[in-house]
Amino acid sequence: MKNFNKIHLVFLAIVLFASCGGSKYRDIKTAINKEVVFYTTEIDYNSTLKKNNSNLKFGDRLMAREILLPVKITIKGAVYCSELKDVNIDEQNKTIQFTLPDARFEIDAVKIDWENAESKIGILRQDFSAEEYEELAKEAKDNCSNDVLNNLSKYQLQAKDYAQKSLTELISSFGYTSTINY
Amino acid sequence: MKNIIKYIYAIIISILYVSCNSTECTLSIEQIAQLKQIRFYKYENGNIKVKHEKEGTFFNDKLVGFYEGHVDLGIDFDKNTFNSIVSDNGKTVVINTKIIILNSKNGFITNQRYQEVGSFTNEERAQLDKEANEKILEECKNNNGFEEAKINSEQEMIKILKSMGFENITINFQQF
Repeated sequence: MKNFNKIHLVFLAIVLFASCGGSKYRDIKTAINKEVVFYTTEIDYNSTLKKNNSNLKFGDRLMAREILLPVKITIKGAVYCSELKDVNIDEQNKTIQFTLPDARFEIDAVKIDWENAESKIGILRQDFSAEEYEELAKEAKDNCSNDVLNNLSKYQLQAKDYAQKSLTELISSFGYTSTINY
Repeated sequence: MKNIIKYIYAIIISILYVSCNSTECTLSIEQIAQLKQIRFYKYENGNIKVKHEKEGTFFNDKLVGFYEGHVDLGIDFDKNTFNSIVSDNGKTVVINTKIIILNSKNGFITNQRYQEVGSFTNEERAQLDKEANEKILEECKNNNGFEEAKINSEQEMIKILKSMGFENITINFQQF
């Protein structure tokens, strides 16, 4: 019974703490829908894949086949507004302060540039199959994702820097001064 | 005898060398741009199918594309589609804006699969992708995507502006 009361007291304390602590922080966190996203960066990639699928008899040019496939990929840096941290709004002094979360990098579009694709198919060979085109598009996508991963700190910094500039400008249009940390 | 074995090894290595598939990739960044966009609604569809059929020599040639894609809708603060007027000592705000498509010029497709029977040109394949892009946007419109985006953006902006202390908030949406 004692333990039960203790549990109740702890629960009550948690509820009180959650409802009292930093009202503005709580307001803005509950205010923003999880799907509201601030796009800060757009990275446009050109990826050209050259495939020499010469599954052929030794030295037989009639059996050769080669393809050049350009793929255009756009990746966007996104800041999820519900993940903003340490939000403080001072209505009287018209100031806003918060910390930006890490940006997430998402694929916006994958466009196979068919019009600029080139293929050389030996007369005894069939064209590349649809599955092979798919494979090449997937490879292009993987290469772009790997580039983002390999340069994550650079792109992350750029995304946050752009977010800071844009949000400062936007917030000032509402008469507020902002302090955005990252 | 030893020479014969050497020759056999050389032939096997040559055959293996020419029969392996090699893929080279050249990756370059065209541009890194700054965006000032807020997405208020995302329409996703992983079930877009577009089909082309034409007469072949013996049978009909068929090209089918299966696509996944999304349409991002929201507000762009950098395209003359947003302005705010604050008055009444910071208690009243009027916003004039417009819901726009936020996707890049490269379209809405994020993933594609093809099934091909017969022979098709690259122009025909490009046409298939173009139709898929149009279909994703059409489906978004048919599912009231723009209306949803307008409702969401209005609700979210009012909540945020209220938490900033504004009491009278008016949001005017231009035709989309």
